[in-house]
Amino acid sequence: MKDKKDKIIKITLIIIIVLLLIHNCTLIKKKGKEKTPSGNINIIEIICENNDNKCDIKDKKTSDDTNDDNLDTSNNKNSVGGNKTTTDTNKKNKDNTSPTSGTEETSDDQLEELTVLDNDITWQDTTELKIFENSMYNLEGVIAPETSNTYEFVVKNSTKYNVKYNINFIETNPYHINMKYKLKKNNTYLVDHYVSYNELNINEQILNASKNDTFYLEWKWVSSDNDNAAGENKANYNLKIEVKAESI
Amino acid sequence: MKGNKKVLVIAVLLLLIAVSYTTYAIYKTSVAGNAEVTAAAWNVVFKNGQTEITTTQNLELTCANNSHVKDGKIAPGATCTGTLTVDATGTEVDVAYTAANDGTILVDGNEYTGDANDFTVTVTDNGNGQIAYNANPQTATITVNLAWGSVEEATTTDPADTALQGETITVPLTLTAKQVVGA
Repeated sequence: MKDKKDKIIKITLIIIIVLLLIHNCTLIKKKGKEKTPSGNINIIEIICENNDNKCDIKDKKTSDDTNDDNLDTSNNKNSVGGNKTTTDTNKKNKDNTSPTSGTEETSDDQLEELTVLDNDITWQDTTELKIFENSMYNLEGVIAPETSNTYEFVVKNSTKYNVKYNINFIETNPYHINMKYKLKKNNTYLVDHYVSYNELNINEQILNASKNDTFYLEWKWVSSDNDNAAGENKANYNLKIEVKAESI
Repeated sequence: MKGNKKVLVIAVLLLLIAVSYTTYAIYKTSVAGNAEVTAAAWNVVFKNGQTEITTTQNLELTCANNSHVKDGKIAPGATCTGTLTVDATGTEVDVAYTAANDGTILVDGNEYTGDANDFTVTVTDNGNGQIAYNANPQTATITVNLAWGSVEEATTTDPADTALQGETITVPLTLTAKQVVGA
């Protein structure tokens, strides 16, 4: 009798452990191989082991699909008015941090992705962004002293996991154009006065599962003694934005 | 009993492995976007004839229509005119220019301290103008007039006038061009 009992216990234990192992292996496959991103290595899609199928993962969004409720695509300007906000600001996370996103949840169909997108496009590796379009030049990519505008982009966590992310800004500016920035997240300024690009970087932003954070990057070419040299040489200016996230 | 212990050890090991996998399974994502833009061209020069004005230089005044005065000379009652060009060809912003005389007249390099009404300097449109970035051509002409008194005054003898004979009279002009800012 006792032996039988022991046997049953043993078998049950083994079954539980094997099931646990199977579950975790499946989880790892779904998440993709663990990679430590470096440089511009881009992991947006979650790839299954049987590579021909996408498993349960939806295709990457097209620009039509990104007409989220947060984004107004009815005009060509970068700065978009009005985000819908929820009111869950009184809730706390398990680690007692305040919720960082005040925007509505995504549907179940959009799970398994963390994306960054703007009015026009979902960011992919080396996406060209229309940050510097401005009305002075009919929305062309030309700037002059005292031109300014606002660029909106959204970090969208469609995964089942809470994530933390960093945003880094990198400038290439050979003629020292006096470009300055402010940064707003949802309805709150993170940087509320014009600063250089290297004072914009933000770290450890928490974004809960199925939530979004909307950023407003305000830029302005502030007049300086370098302006003539930049204009006489039709200087190029480049800004790169990197978003790196990991689950927590 | 021994068998049971073995099973227990294996079970614990498997459990540990399962927990470790869970611990190391971290989801990571990295995306980047890039924006490149060009500064609008700035290519504005002032020209005296075909010569680009880069430092202080003389603007030649033509004293025409003074049939009783030798060419290139000014006399009481005569007027001399000079032109210069603002050339903004290729500039991609609107340009506002000025050519201003602050009322100073120089005689042989020294400020003239005679009667203020002896000389009158006028500049087209009071020396102000704009050139649009989409104008064709992107140039403007500034006309400078220097008048020495009036014909009526020239009929009387003024020792101050005769004292200026042979002297070089200079009209200082300050030329500026800047980008038009705003809506």
